[in-house]
Amino acid sequence: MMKKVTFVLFALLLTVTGANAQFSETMKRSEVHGSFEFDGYYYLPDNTLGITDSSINGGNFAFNGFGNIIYTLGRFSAGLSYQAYLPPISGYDSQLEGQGIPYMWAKYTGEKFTFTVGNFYEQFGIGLTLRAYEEWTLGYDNSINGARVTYEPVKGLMLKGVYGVQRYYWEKWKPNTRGIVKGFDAEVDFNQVIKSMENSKFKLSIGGSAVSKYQAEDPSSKYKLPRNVSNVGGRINMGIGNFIVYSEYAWKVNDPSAVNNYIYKDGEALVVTLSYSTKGFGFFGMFKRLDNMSYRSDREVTSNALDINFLPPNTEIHNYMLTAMYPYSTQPNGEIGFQLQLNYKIPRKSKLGGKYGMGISVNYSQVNNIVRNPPNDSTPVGELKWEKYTMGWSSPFFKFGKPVFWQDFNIRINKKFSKKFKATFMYMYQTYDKWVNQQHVERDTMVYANIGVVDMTYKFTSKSALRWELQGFWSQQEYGSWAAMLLEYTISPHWFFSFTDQFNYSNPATHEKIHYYNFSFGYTLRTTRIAFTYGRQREGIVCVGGVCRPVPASDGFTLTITSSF
Amino acid sequence: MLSIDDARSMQKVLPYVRGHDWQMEVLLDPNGDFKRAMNVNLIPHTFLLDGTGKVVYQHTSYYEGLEDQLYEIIKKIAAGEKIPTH
Repeated sequence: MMKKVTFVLFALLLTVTGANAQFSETMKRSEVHGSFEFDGYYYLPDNTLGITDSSINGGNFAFNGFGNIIYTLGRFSAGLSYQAYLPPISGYDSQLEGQGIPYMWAKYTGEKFTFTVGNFYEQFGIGLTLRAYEEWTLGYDNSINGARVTYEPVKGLMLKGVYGVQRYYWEKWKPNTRGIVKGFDAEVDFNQVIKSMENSKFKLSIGGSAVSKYQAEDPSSKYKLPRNVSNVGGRINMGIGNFIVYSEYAWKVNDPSAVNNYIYKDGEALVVTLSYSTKGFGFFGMFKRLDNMSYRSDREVTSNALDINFLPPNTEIHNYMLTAMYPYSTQPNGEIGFQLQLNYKIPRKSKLGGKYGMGISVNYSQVNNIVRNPPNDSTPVGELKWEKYTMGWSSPFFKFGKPVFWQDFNIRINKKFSKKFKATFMYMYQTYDKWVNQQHVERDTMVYANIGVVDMTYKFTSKSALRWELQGFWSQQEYGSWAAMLLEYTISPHWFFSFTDQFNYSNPATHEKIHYYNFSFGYTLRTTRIAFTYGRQREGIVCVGGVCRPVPASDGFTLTITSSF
Repeated sequence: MLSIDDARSMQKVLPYVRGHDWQMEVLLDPNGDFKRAMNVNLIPHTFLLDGTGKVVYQHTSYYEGLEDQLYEIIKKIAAGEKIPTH
């Protein structure tokens, strides 16, 4: 009897520990990770900037924040993102106000298949037909809510399919509102698929995509609007030795929308890039042409939302305070441009290179309007008056039209002088059409500027360093000239303290000769960073990838906390 | 190094890296999947992996001199010592 009891107990114990082991085994394989960010503002009145208590109107606080959680168990993963804009920081779209979980997904990753349901991001090629992405600094998110499947039958052949509706701030999708997006993409990398090409110096991959949107007809519209609009594209990437040529072309059928003033013209986009690179030398060239290529899942929307495709800019991204004063904003209705970029490293121990070598980069980019002729040759057409023609315009493909929207020539030199001291020198000449880039009403608002930057870093010890930037922006237009400087002291890996000032010393209006100063400090511990800022924000525009949002002038405190685990 | 360049600037990465004579392996994350999977909020973000591929140290943002501290941490891990918690 005793024996039996012991045995039962033993068996019970075994089962329990067995289940336990299985459970803990599962727990061992499963992982939870996440991250969060908090960007809080406290606005202060500032007479110099024309901000008073009554204009703040009790709205002293603003905050943008998010929290992400990702759970992984072997081939299975799931996640969600909580976001809050209560209310959004000034300059973010007011439609963002609110909080909730706009992003939730589950994914299975198999040997050849992956399945995602819920919200996801995706990109076909460079995005001329489809790109769903998120940019926190813009408050931009056009993620798709639906299903996504990828299938890789053999290594080097990738097939993708997506189906769903896009995020539109906090608005839930309902029938007869915004459209439904369907997309298919295939890409073949011949160097992986064909065995004999594996080690070939000739690299080749080809891709193609087809995207379609369906949006119900608006019965109140005076136009007969197409319900289905497709956008198809092809791309080819070739590498021969040190050369790489990439081209992508997309063609969109007629898509009358608020962005193109309801014209029935087809749209097209072409991007061609060429690069040559070898040790210490890199060349990059790009040609781009867009013609009536805005493609959104709601034809009525003109704000930064619901883009299905992405139109890549061919301009340089600038990071210094004054070189980023006038950033480029992509013109989906039509632009033609190119970019040339050279990177060269003068070797160490040469006459110019010195002990550490010297880096030089030269960049030129230009964007023009496309040439627009009336679709019917006998009718005269005034510039940008094309909205009165049903078919919009006809446009010679390779012709550069007027005006020049953007022009940027810049040269940058990086030099390390000693173990303790290094510097970057930059000169830039910029032409900027404020009217097209910022949708101002007045015409003839070209800005021409010469910009200079000296950026020096001095290392006191292996941990502490001082960075000192001096910048000048010389222009006769708009606000006139600016001077700026930055002082930043860092103690790695934890602390930073910085002071910046941008002074609009030659503003034509005396009371606008303003100092925009900022004091900030921050502490970083591994993946957690806390930063605190007090100061003034100048009015301007911030762009990421040619997508822009305005930034109004403000004064106040900022607290940023970011962390991940 | 993992570049966050998306597909629009991908073609610029190679001439940039070679033009600056950077002698390291550079990978691309065009759709940002890896960045999201690793919960990267700020750029740059440094991960230090051990021989088995496990993340043993992470750091967000960069200040002058971080590379020296990373080197110290790598030496400690190689010697089987514990790395400081801060």
